Amino acid sequence: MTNQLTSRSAWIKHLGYSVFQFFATMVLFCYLITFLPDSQLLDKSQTERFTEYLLILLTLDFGYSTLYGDPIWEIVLDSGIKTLFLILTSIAFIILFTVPMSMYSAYNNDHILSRLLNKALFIISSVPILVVAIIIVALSVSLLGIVPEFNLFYDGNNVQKVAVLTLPLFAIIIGDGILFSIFETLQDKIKKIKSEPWVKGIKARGGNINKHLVRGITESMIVSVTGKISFLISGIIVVELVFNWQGLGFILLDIFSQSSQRDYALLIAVMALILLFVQASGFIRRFTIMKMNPEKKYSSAA
Amino acid sequence: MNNTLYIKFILFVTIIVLVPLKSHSQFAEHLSYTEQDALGQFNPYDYEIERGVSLRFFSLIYEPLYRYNFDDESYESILVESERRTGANQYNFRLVDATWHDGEALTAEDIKFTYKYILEHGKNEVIRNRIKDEIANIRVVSDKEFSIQFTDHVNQFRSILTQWILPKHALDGDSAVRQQFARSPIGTGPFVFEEKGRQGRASLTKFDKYHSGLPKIESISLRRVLDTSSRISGLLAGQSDLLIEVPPGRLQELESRMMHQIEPYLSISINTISFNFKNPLLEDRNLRLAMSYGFNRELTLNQWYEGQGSLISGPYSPASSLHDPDVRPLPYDPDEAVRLLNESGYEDKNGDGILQSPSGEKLSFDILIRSTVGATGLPAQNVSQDFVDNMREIGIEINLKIEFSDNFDRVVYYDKEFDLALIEWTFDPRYNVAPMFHSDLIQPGGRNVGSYRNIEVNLLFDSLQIASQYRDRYRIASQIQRKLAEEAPHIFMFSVMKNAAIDLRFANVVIDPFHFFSYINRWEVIDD
Repeated sequence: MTNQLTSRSAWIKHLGYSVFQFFATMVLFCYLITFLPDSQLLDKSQTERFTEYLLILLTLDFGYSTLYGDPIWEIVLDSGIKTLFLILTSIAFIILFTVPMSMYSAYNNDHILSRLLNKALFIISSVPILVVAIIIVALSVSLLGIVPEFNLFYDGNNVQKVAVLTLPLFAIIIGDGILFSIFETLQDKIKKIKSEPWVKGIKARGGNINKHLVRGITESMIVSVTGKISFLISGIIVVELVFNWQGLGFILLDIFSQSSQRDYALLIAVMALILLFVQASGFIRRFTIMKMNPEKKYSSAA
Repeated sequence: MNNTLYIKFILFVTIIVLVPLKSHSQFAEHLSYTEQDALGQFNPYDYEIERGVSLRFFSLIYEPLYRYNFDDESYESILVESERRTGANQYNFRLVDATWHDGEALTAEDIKFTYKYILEHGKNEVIRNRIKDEIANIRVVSDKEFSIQFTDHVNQFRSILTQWILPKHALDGDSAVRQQFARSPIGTGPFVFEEKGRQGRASLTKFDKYHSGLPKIESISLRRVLDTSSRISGLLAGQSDLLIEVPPGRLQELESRMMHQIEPYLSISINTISFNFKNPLLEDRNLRLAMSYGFNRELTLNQWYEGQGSLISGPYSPASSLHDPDVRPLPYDPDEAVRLLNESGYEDKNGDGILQSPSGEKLSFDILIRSTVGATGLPAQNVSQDFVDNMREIGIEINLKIEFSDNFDRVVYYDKEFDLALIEWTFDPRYNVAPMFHSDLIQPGGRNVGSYRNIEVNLLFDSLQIASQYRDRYRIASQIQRKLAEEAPHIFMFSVMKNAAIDLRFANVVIDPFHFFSYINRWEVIDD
C-alpha cells in the first residue's frame, strides 16, 4: 500500500515536471519569436508582442489563421493527425522490420548473412533522409508515373493513394538512421539476455526463455523508440516537405516562408503540439521504465 | 491449404488496390491547377497586401463593376449595363441582371455596401485610401440604379471602380458573419465556391445562372503543391492541367514534350536595381548612369530567364498602355560607363582595381536582395552575381547582401538602410508608378525607397494625375519616361514575360496578366 502511494506520488511528480517543462519551453519560445522581424508588426514593441503571445498560449484562444483563413484549432488538429500518422506508422514498421532482423542477427551472430545484414542496414541508414526521399520520389515518377504528393490521397486513384501513404514511410524508415540504431539496440539486448547466468540456468533446466526475451525486447524497444522521437520528428518535417504532406513540419516552414502576415498564433499552436508529442513520448518512456524494469521501479518508488 | 488462402488474400488485396478509379484531373471538363502559396481566407478586403494566389481565385468567384482589358487597353463594363453623367463629377449607373451564387439578385445596395465595407473594414490601405480620396458619395437610386459623386480630381472614373463587389445580404453583420463569409464566399462570378479542403485545396463549380456567357469548364479544383519541381512533375504526370507560371529554366523542357500548350502572357512587373540617395556618392548622376551602361542586362535576361522578357527604359513595362517604345533602354556599353566615371573624376589611386572618388571614398556598395525559401529566388541571386561581376570590370565593388523577406521589407521600405536593392515591382491595372518617384510620397513603407527627389518629375506626375484624355496621359507619361531615363534613379533592367502551361484539351485560353482567370468563360474544352 505504501509502495503504491509512493509510486503514485512519483507519477504526480513526473506529471508536474512534464507540465512545467512544457510551459517553460513554450514561454521561452514565445519570447524568442519576438526577436523575429515582421514587417506587419513594426508598431509593436517586443514586450507587447511577448505579452500578446503569452496570452494566446495561456488562453488557448488561437483564433483564425491569417495564413490559411481557417480556425487554428482545425488546422493544427488536421496537420497533427497527419504528423502523428507518420510517427506511429513509421514506428510500427520499424518494429516490424527490426524485431525479426535483430533476433536473426543475435542468434546467428557469426553467420555471413547476419554480418551482411548488419553492414547493409548501417550503409542504408547512413544516407540522409532528404536524399532517400528525393530518390523515392524520382523512382515513383519514373516507374509508376506518379508524383507522390499528398493531394492525390483526396482525388487520386487507389494506386496513387497507396503510393502517397506508403512512400513517405519508406523514406522515414530507411533514411532517418533510426532503423539501424534500434536494430543494434535490440540485437545487443537479446545477446545480453541470452548471456545472463539466470537465463542459462532456465535453459539448462529445459525452461522457456521467450517470456524474458519478449519482456526485455519490449522494454528496450519502447525506451529506444521514444528516446528518438525528436529525431523522428526532424526527419518527418523533411518528408512532409518533399511529399507535400501538410503536417506540422510543413506548416512550420510555411509560416517562416511568408514574406508578410507571419502567422504567430499558428506558429505557437504548432510548436505546442510538437512539444506535446515529445513530452508524451518522454512520459511513455518513463512509464515503461518504471513498469517493466523492476530495478528502476522499486528504486523510483523508494 | 493455408498457403492457398494466403495467396488468395494477397491477390484480392492487390486487385482492390490496383483497380484504378478515375481521378478528377481526367474529367474532360474539369480544370485542375496548382499553386505554390496558401490560399488563405476568401474575403478580398481582409488582406493587407494583394496576393497572387488569392487574386486568381477571386477572379473566378467575384466580379467588379469595371475591369481593365489588357488587349483593348481600356476599362470594360462587367456589372454595369449603362452609365450616364448627371452632374459635375457625378454619374448614374445601371446594373446588369446578375445573380449572386445563392440565388439573390444583385442590387444597388450591394454596391453601396461594398464601398462602405472597404472604408470600414478593408485592411488594404492602398485600396482604402483610393476609395476615400476619390469617391465622395454613393446614393442608391433604385434596385438596379445608383449614383456616385466623385471628388474633384477624378479622371477616368472607371479605373476607380475595379474592386470586387460583395453581397450585402451575406456580409452585413458582426464579426461572426464576416468570418463565416470569409470561409464560404458568395459572388456573381462564373464559378461557385464549393468547398475548401485541407492541404490548401479548394473546388468550384460552374455557376449556371452566370449573367455573361456560361463557361465551358464544369468544375475547377485548386491544389497546393509547395515545390516547383513537384508541380511540374505533377503537370507532366497528368495530375494537374495548368501551371500558372512556368519557371524560365523549365520552359524548354515543357515545350519539347509537346504535352501542353505554352501560353505566354504579359508581365505587369518590372525588375530594377534601386539607388538609395541617402548615400551621397549615389547622388552623382554620372555614377548611376555608368552603372546602368556597365551592366549587361540583355545577357542576364537571356541567361537566367531564357530570354523571356524585354529590356526596359523606365518604370512602364511594355504591357502598360503608357509605355513609350521610343524611349530606348540604355545599351550595354562599358566604354561609355568608364568615360562617365572618368568625367566625374573617379580614379583607381591605389591600383586595387576599385575606383575612388575625388574625395578619396572607395566606390564600394552593398546590394540587397530578397531571399526566398526554395529555388524560387535563384534567378534574382544570379542576376545580382552578374551585376557584381560587371561592376567589378568598370572598377566598382559590389557586395551581395541577402535578407529574408521580412527583413528585406523592413530594411528597404521602412529603415531605408541600403545602397542598392534588387526589387521586382508589380503593379495593378491602373499602373500608378508615381509612388516610386514622387518626393511627396516618401514615407515609411512607401515605394520611393531610395528617397528620390526631382521637382520636374513631381510636376509631371501631378499633371498625369489630372489628365483625363488618353492622348494627354500618354504624352505626359512619355515625358516622365524620358526624364527618368536621363536621371536613372534606378537601373531599369527588364520586364520578364510569364508563361502558363495548360493541357492540350483546353483551347482559346485567354489570360488576364493580373487576375489570370478573368476570361475563363471564353476558354474552350476540346472533347476527345
